[in-house]
Amino acid sequence: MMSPKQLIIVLFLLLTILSIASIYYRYIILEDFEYETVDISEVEM
Amino acid sequence: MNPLIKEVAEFCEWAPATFLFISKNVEGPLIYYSHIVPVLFSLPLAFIIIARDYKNRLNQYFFLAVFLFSIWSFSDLILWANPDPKIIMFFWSLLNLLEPFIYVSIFLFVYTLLFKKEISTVILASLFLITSPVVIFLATSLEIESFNLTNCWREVTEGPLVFYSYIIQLIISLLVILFTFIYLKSTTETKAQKRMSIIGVLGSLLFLAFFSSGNIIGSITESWGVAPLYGLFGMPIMVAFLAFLITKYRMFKVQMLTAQFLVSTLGILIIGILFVQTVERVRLIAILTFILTVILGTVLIRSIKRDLEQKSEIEKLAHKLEKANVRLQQMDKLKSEFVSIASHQLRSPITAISGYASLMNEGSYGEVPSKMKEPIERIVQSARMMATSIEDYLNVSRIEAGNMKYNFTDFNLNDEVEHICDDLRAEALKRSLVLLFRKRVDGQGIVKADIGKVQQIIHNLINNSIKYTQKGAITVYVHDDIKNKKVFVDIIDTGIGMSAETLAGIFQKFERGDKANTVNVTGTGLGLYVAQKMAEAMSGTISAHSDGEGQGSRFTLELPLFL
Repeated sequence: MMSPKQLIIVLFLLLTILSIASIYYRYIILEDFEYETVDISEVEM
Repeated sequence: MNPLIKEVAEFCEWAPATFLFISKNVEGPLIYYSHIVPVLFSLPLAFIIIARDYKNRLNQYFFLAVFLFSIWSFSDLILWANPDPKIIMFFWSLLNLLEPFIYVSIFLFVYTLLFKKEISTVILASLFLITSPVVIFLATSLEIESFNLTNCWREVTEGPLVFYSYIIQLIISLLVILFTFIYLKSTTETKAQKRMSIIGVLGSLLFLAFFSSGNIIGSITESWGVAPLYGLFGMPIMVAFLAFLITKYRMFKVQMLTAQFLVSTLGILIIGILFVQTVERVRLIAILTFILTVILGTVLIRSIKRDLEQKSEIEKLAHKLEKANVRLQQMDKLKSEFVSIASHQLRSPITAISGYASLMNEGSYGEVPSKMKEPIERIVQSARMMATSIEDYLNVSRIEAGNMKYNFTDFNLNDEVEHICDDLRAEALKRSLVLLFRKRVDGQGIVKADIGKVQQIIHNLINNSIKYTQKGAITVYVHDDIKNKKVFVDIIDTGIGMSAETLAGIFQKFERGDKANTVNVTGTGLGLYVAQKMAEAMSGTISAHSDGEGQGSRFTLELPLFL
């Protein structure tokens, strides 16, 4: 049986792997993000 | 890369990247190298430390912090070098994920360094709980909103969660300070241990301060220029602190670390030249230097390792020896105590036996039949012999325990020796021996010593001579040497004599002459040992001389003259 401490670490590790997999899937595979440009003329004014 | 971005990349003249991070996009060598140097300093050290003892919690946390920092550094390098927005999006998110974890690992390192115990489940759970929003919402626009292409920037627009991450960093930094104060208030450690812990904490705090300043300045000013990158140098500072601890206080219990660390960093730096220098000759020199460094480094590390192993072996043996010595001393003391107690217990009944038997023979309890007189006399003699033996054992235990008391007074040695000779003459006559007393003293023969002990020594020496002489004479001769302020008492007999081997050990405990048993069956072998120790305690000495077996012996007591 795992101790509570080990359980916390394992759960957190799983969560971290899952979130890294999510950013990989979203940004690298799906390229799901928006591009943003600031109107340079506005900035210059 | 989608066609639109490809067009933007061409318009902005973004160079492609090899291995994700080697490209011409990096703005100048200082920024480029600022990512590699801290990793080069810290990662080899972390690997060596964890390889030494991977079960040690302190080593584990240090390795975790450095490992996460190294991934962070390379991810940051990729952001600088890579032109692809999707790669930048991924690694920027990764950076934001790693930052709180670097803080958590540094906190764990400091906590273990200070309190030398496992962190409690509550603290660990709390740390993970406050960092969990960063992990859970990592892939959402709360973390990164969009990719900013304005002015050919290759940057992202960060979401509100990044600022939450900075709050976590602040909380953890404050916790490090708080726990350091708790440690300082509650610790019972020595000054050196305290200093070591504080230096470790200081190094960690400086790292955290550098690290935060770089990121926070970047996020707040939204300017990712050169300034935020100086935050990277927090890690070499922490490593420098740790290197100091390793050499000064042998932290991590890795004494060889400095040598290994130097050699491996040197090797990696030389290899680094291969990537930045394109001139073939320089590359060749770099390869040759690397080979030489590896060979010399290996020799150096091996010799240090051998030295350390020998030193540790010697330390272990010395420790064992010390323990054995203490044990031996304890046992010797116990033995002396036992002998002392046992002898005291024996002395009283023996004195009673001897006393009552004497009284019986003297007729104090009525007429004793003549047939009984001889057996009773034997009882008296045996009891006296036994009492003498017990007295010897008691004297030995007193000498060894340092409990022998000496009462120093001035007295005339000539007179004392003469009296003893008079007392023992009858005893000598019983054995048909002549006991002669002679003196040739220029001074008065006054000595300052314990009169009782001196009497005991001379009595013992003359008695020995009587015991070991079957025929002839025993001459007791007192003479002095005024010039050297010494007085001598020679006891010369015509007895069984001694071989050179017997003479060598005659003053040792339980030593008796080779032929002692043929002449005198009684005796403990302690008399001369006790006499010698007593003489030494009174600044004198006893020496023995014999020309060989059957040639008689001469014992000389030497004492300082009191003028």
